[in-house]
Amino acid sequence: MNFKKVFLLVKAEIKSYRLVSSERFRKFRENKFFIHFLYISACILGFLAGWMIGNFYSKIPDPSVKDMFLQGVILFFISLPMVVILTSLILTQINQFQRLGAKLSTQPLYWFPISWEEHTLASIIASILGVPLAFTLFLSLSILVASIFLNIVPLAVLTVFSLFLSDFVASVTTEILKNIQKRIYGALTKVGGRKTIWLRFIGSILFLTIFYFFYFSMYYQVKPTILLKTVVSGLKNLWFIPYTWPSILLSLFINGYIYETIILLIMSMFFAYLLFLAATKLNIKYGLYETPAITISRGIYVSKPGLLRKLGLSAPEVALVKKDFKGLIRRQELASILIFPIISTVVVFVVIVMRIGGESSTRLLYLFVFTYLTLVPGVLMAIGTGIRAIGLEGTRISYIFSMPIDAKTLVRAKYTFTVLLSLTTALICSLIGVLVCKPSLKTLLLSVSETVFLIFSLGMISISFSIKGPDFRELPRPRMIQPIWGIISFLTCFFIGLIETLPVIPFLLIRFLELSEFNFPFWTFSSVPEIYFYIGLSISGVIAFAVTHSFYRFALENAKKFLVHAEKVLAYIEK
Amino acid sequence: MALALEPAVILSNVVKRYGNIVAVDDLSLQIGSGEVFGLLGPNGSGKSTILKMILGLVKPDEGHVEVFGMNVQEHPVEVKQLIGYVPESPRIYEFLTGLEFLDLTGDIYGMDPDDKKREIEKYLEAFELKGREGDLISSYSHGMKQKLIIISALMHRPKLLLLDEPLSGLDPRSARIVKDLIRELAVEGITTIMSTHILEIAQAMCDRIAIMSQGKLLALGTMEELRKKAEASNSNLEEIFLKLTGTSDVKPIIEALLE
Repeated sequence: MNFKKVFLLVKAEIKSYRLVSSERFRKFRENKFFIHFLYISACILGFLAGWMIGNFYSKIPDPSVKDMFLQGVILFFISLPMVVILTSLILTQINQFQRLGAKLSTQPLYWFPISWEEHTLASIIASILGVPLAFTLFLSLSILVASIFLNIVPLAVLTVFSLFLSDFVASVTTEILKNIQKRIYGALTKVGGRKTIWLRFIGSILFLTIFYFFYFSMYYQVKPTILLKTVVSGLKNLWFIPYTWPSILLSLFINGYIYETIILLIMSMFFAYLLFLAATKLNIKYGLYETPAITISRGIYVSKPGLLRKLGLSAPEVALVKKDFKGLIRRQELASILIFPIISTVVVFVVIVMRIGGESSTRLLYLFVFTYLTLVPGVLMAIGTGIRAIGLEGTRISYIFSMPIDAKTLVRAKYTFTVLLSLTTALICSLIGVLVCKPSLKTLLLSVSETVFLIFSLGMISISFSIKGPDFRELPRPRMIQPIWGIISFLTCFFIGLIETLPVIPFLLIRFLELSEFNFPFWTFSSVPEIYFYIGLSISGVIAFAVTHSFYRFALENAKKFLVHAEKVLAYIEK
Repeated sequence: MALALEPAVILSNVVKRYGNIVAVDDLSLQIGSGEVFGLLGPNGSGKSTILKMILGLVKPDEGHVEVFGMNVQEHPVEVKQLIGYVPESPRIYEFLTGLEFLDLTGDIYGMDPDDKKREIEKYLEAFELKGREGDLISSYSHGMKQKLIIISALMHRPKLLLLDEPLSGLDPRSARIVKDLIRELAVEGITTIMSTHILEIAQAMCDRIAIMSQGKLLALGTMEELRKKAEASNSNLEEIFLKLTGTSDVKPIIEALLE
């Protein structure tokens, strides 16, 4: 294996972040400090954290407390490799998930005289880059600096080594899973044809749902106070799983089993090597695997005026909306849009399963769960989809620019897509809520109305910012919105959403207090005159309408400027 | 010849700069309705930029561009409605099927559903894409994608065709169809402006040819006019092109490469 080639490939991966990210597309100048900013920050923060822990430890006067603290730190060290494996596994998988659309652009690497071992190793290292590496650097620096004060330097060095080994093992596992997924998807395509698209879409939703359900259930069951003990004692029972070895070897080292530690260390490295060999073999077999062509339809048909046309949309607007829906179902990398609505739904289900208790608390819980289920996933979908609505075009935005599409068409099409998707999400979640929680009519009216108001207004806010700061780069993974505009949009949505719901929040609060058997001195929910309830709801609706209207104007202005400055965007894409 | 016709495209003293690089330098052109106009020039001579300026994708720093009497920057949507554009490196929605892509394009141009179906069927048949129209574009070859983008430029019957290297990747049969079709469309009054590196094609198809170098117009005219200008009465376009662009003597370069 030529490590120089591996290094060059990883370097090329780092440089892919340059694509479409700078206005200086002809002469790219880069500041090395900013490129490595994430890692430098992680190291500085890690150093500071380690220094603070060490200082805190040296200032503890009581020797018994000091010893307790030291034991706690050692216990923490042992759990870290496992924590890093789990975190890196999730992060590298999300990384790969989002990079699925970049396949074609990375293929030319296969033309070069690079062996599969070199290619696989570069891919594994590249997956660790970014947050996983920064996280490990932060932990490593903290551990090393703190260990000087705590006088446990050998253990710290071994822990740091275990952390990097864990990172590597997690990334190789992701590489293996990527190839297996590629093969399974190919087989499914052969068997299922057009059904594969739906299988893949529903499969992604199911995978995310089950994964997060498991994740949050684990988190909820294991109380943070006993988390460390659980992890450490649990690890000893799981010795036959090689992923736990980096943590177990630390435990052996602390207890003075030096030979056993060395043997387990060698075994851990051997396991990592075996995984690497497996990943390479799979890459050789499926690395260039081309999934069979999917035939979606046979015969020639064209779209005709449908329901959306009857709702007042023009033919180009309907065409763009349909195109976006097809993209959502068929583009694997867009599944990331679904992550937050799924997490938000799964979290409440975990709460329901774990917390159902007495009669009153159940009623209170049901009120919370229903309001949450109706409101949160749909509204999050509106914010998340709206903010990515323009950026999801990627480099295909050049098609939009060359077509006779004006600002109004663009805004209305993207808005319709966002609102329809969010309303569908809200409807599904609300139906589940109705079945599980059986809310009162007033609660139903309140939750559904507010959800609709928020989806319409926050969706428009997000669209307007999406046009203002889209990110069309597709390598190394599509971001779809520039981070700064993402933050501005989120904050704007948060504050405007708060103002919008303010007129009805008192009603919800009173209801919550009533159900929690808190003796509210003056009022109960039923004693609030009905008219105030409707006035509150109407005010909320009026605010939502005003916000939607204002931001529609803002979005139109942004879209006009965006279309006029096509040249600037095309320059990023084409160079 | 073309100047006698009603102008389809007018470029007046157009300048386009990218930083220190002058992509198009004080260019004035008039292209008549029904004319097949060729843009020739080495890489980076400004051909694609000119096409993009006519479509309104690139704004000139100086001068202005008119299409059928409309200022491109002032009436961008109206102008695009009249144009069929084949970009140099097309970026199309690979998650759509070929048919869905054409359907989308037809809808954006506001085509009537029956017309759209008829045109799609006709072109798919002609370019031998029938039978693959329901497959996702991601499974298409480069040539198939090029055919699809050419169909999308032609299907709405534009008045002006802007073709940037249109024959790249096409099989000989499809290339022949495109060439003959452009000539036939010219008879119907449809204007075509194409950039190409294939000089034989330009020579065979174009009424007039503009030779560009470093953003400047070196020569403009019919083949005869170009021959006169290059003082090469029996030369073909390749010889004229190499002579005018000052790149005719490639022998020392090849010798240096072989050393």
